Amino acid sequence: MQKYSTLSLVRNALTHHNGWEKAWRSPDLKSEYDAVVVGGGGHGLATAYYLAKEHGYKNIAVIEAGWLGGGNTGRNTTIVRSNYLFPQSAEFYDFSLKLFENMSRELDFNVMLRQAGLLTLLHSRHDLEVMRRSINAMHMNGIDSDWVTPNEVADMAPGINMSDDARYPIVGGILQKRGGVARHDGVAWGFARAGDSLGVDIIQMCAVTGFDIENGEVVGVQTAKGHIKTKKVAIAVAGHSGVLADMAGFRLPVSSMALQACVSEPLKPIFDAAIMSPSLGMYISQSDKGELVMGGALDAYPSYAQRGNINTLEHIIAGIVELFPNFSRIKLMRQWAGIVDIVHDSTPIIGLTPVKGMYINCGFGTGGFKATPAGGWTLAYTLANDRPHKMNEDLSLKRFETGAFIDEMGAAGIAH
Amino acid sequence: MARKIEHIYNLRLDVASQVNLDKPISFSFDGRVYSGYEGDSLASALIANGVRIVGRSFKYHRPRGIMSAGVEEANAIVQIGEEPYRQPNMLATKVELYDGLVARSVNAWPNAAFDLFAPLGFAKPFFVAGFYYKVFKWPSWQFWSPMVRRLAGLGTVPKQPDPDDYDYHHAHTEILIAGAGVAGLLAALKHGKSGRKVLLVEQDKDLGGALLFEKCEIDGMSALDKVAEMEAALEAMDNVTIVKRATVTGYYDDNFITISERLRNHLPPHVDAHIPRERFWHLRAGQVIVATGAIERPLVFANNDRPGIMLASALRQYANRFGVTAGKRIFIATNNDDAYRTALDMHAVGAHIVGIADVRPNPQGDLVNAVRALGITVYDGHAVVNTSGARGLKSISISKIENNVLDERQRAFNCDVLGTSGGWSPVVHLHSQSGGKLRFNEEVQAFVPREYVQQNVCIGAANGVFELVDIYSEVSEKAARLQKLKTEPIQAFWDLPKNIKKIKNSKRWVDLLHDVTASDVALAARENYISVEHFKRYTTTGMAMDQGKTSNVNALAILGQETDRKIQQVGTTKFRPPYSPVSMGAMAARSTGALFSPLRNLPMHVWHVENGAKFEDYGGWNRPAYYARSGENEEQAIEREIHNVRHHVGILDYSPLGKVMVQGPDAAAFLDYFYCNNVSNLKLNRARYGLMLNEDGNVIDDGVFTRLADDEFMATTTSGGAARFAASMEEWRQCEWPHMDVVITNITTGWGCISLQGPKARDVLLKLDIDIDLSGEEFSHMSMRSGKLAGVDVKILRTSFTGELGFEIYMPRSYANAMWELIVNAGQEFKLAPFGLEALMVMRTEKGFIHIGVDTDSSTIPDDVGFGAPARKKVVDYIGKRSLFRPASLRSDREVLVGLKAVGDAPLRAGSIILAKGHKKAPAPMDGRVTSSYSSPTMGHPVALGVLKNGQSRMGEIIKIYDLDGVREAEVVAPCFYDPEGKRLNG
Amino acid sequence: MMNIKCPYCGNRSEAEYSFGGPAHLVRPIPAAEVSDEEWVDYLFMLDNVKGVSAERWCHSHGCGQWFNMLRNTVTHEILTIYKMGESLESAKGGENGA
Repeated sequence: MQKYSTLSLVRNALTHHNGWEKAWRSPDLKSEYDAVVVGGGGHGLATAYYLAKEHGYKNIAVIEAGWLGGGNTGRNTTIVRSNYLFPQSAEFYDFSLKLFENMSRELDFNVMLRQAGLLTLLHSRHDLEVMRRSINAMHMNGIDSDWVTPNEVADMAPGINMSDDARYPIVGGILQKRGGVARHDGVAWGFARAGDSLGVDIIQMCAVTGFDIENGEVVGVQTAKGHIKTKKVAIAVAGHSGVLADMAGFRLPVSSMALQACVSEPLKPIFDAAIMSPSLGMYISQSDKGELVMGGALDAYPSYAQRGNINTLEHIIAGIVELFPNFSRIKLMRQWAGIVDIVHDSTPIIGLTPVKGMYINCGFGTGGFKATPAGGWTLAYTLANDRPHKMNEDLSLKRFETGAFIDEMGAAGIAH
Repeated sequence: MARKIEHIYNLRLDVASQVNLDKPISFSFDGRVYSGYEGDSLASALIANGVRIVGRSFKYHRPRGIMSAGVEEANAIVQIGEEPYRQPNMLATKVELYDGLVARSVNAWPNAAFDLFAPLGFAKPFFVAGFYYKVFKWPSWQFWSPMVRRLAGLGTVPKQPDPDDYDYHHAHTEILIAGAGVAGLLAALKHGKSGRKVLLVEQDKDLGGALLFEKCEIDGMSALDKVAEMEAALEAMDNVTIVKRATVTGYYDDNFITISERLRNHLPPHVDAHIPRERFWHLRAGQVIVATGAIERPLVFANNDRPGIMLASALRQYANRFGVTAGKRIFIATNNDDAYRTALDMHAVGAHIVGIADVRPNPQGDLVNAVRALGITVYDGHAVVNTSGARGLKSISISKIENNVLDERQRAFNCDVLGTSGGWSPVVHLHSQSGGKLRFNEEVQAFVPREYVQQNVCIGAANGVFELVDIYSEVSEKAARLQKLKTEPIQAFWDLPKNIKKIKNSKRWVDLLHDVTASDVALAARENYISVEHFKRYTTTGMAMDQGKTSNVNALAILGQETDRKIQQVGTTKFRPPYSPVSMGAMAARSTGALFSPLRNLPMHVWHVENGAKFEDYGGWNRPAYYARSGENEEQAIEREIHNVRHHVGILDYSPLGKVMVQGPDAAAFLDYFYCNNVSNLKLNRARYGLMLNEDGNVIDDGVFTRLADDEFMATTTSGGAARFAASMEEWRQCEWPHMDVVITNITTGWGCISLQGPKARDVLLKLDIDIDLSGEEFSHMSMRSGKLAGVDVKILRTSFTGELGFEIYMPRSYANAMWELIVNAGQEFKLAPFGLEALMVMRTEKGFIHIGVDTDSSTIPDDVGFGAPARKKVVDYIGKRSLFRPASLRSDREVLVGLKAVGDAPLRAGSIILAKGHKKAPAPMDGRVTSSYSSPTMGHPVALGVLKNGQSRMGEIIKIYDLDGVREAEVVAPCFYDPEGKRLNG
Repeated sequence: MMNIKCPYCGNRSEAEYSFGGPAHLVRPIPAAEVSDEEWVDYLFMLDNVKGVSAERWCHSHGCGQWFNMLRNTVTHEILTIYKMGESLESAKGGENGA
């Protein structure tokens, strides 16, 4: 893999940047692979990378229907955090955050992790009690989390509505300092490039059309570019999980819905942290380009159309203007949506499927981006060992039968 | 506003135009005062005053000038006005000038003309596309990003809240026409005559589109006169509505359209301040006619970003519409016939046309020959290759092109303006938003609409039909008298040939706003970022404020060349709403402040206000938390209120309590599906506490249900849960059990409820005229009586959430306030006083009554709160029953409700975590948590409820409890501190 | 913003409605005889159709009535709307289209 560094940048500048190599190849599909990862988003690419790096797989394909990183990976609001309530989620998401913390160097690709903090705003007596549970639970789970006073909130977000008469007055906040944002495309491209250098074949514009299953065991994958023989398949397709599961003959407790995001025109940066208000139904951060990156609740019905509705968006914007009355004259520049895979308890599913040799990673709902490295890591482990790692043992499909849910609805951010 | 009016240049032409030379006005830009005229745009006025540098580019801070006359402007981004009216990131081309207008450049310091950040331009060799992915890894991006952020962004965020108002406007129309250029006007006339309801929306202040500046004759009159005639005809039609200064911004499902209408942006901020600044339309249209025109594309060559280099059509637009010219010596570069119109028009207003470079070998169209006839030299087969002029265009050089090879020889020309035309891109944004597909039309070298999926159609230039005469025959029923021109087709020309090294490595700008060059596109291709999405994101092309209006097609074509693909194989990205940026204030409109999520007031609200209530939001209701008397703090007030209830009597406005009537022959059987305990066997006039579950077995609400008759029940719910519970009942009734004969009515807001709690509650009621026997023998705890109280029909439920003798009096809401005042007066001799929610919370905790959502969460099952036995025994297949038999529900180590008696005097904090056995500090496994906790004036020690693993078998155990401040200890006790035998509430 | 034709009120904007899950879901009873597997199938498992899907909607900010709807989850096109209790087959033969 060509080294990316200041030195290589300077050296290439002298030759008008003609010396840069392809970030990844565009290989032809082979007829047999040791493992096939369906889905070339962040999770799928991370799965392939860790399969190659941690488990010694040499012959892996990532099959992507569109362009790598073109689904939710490239459509989210880029927030990373691990402020979860239950030990299982906390361990998983904090592992993910730790992988993020070393990702730029490990992948030799700057994923622009900026840990400027994730601030959750509290607006009532009840919020204070509920979030006290969260903050204490995070401490129990070994995750950093600090109580923030209203004055500190005002310092962190100039212009924020500190009025006692606000519909949702700010009575405090909790801050995960290690939370923040990372560049979503960078994560996908970094994993793609690093995986490619370890021999992973990333096959883009190649839809999976079916699976060959014999005696309950997967033996092949049918794709638009040809047939693949393989005994190991990992599925990481977020909103399209149901479609792939249907091809493999099973159902999932997953509903695909549109989650919107939007950005404003670029403005001189005025705040660093990502700010979230469950009561106001919105979250906001300011990108390194200066755009306000905003989001909120789901469009509340199943959808595979990657576009958002206007009434949901207006509610999000109203929440933002309510919180920042000085943002009213700022203009919204672009609105879009991704198709997220919603499950009952806002906890992902990573593990075995009813088909032997087939493993799945789905159900991240509105929060898959921050789990990208851990989602790939655990899926790779599960595939390589045909059993879950301790970290994703409880994140199985089985919990829907046993009822052992890990209900992170509150920690999932905005109530959906 | 400061200093005297300065005239540097005067580039105002001595020609008729649409500005009013009788109305001079003054404005300022970057602190200098200039003059313009009514009818000017900020851009035309700046041009007239010879202001060439109006902004600095995003990354490299290169000087940039006005490059267009419309919404496609990529350079002239300014801030308008002063706090609190300051508006960042406005396009100077679309800002209408008014007297006293204050404009400032963005992304430059101290100003656009002299920008101290300009040296960043020298870093261009290093700051190539995506360079930041390759560096800044050491020590971390965290370390570098503050420096990068200092350079980010364009305008600055206003400091003060927006003083203006915004509105939504809801409308329907049979036909929406987006754009009032010639195509839109003709369509409006045609459909207007049919009598259908037509809405014509134009983003400009005037109708006409290109007719506002094109010199042509239609039906023997000037274009402007023709527009006036058409406008008058439309105005005369009652069924046609014209909206100006309004942009169709979004196209959603089923022809749902958003429109951003700007009512006051063209006025000084204080004028007409009583009307909304902007209106955001919600429109449902039967049919949408997209007549949004087309946007000219610039040509790509070395240093094509200097101030003075403009779209060719913009030159004639400024001359003909505003009577200004950006310069006196004009050169034109083109690959099509249309740019020759600029040569003709600019020549007509007295500018010197230095020459025209046309990449086509031997163009012979009528316009071309008309230009030649004026003695203007057309350099055919030539392209502009480079320009010079550090602070504005001074000269250009052209070279001959043959077989895509650039001749080494160059010819230079002095000029101060260069108009370039690379062809026209139809504005297909709305079509694309509607879900429609595009195809690349080789003939016009542009993406045009292909497949429609909603009720819409694109016409005119938006459909790739550019010539007036063709638009007439496309749209109009009757032909116009128009001159038919012989034209020659456009020749694709996206980038200069790369046979000359110096040219190949030159800065050829593709996206002016985001500072992307052709080399950046090539770099992306080299690194295999060749899908449109990768390329767009890697280079950031088309992601700036203009969303690529002038850059996307050029960039896609160059990417195609770099990867040996045709532009149609490269494809396009999807166009996203809004078409042009919309104020967030307009999108929020009135849904902010008190109307963001309106709080509901209680029937006795005014009384509470007058009696010192401190209000808080409890589940969307504005309820008294406590009533403060003078000299009392919150804690003292709550303590007093509790004392008063425990020893005398308290009165509570309990109206928000959820109240649902369930009536009909199947009422009992129906309700049995909704509670985990039995309903059917409840006797007449008796009440029972019950838990409602969801199908997942989790407790979602609780309340008291009362049998008013064999076939009639009233069920109470939490105040926040009433609507949800009633709706859920309806859903099950309609969808699952339609055979059940039952009617569900949510009477929560229709009925008021007054709760009297305390040992003297009965005495107070007996002071009033009442026909109900209140004696303990006749009217026992958990029963209901109907009767008259002070002449009003009421229902009285004897129940208690405080642990004291209690009566809840239900009556129509309209009687509640009068009844309240009667009771308060009658209670004076018994020391009756109002109490708020906080006192209630303390008392119910003392008594061990759970509060749903506080002592329970989304994983609580009946077993966890002491209802396991009845829930499991109940025979009916009630909602959630089956889930109680899943393995996780049957575990013996579930977290169950317990009482917690803190060691020490201070109460525990709700939200504290109970550490697993053997652990003394965080991090540690969790055994449960404190759910409710208060100082208890009644008990004289703190009381708390919590959930604890195996709680029922750990009574008496001392457990460790973690909270932010540290670890405390508490004893596990039964979850009832006060009157465990229930003597008081049964009294 | 879909334009949904309530079978009782006529065309109204989507904002007046709420989605309520798949149509024709059959609740397995009696509880005691339902296996864990059957129960989870009823309670959580979804077809999550990409394409035409039969759904249950409620005119919640209108008449409050529930109805079924055949809707394309990719294009949001509404193909058929039919009353609760009617079968999809009978609706397709009728004229309840949106």
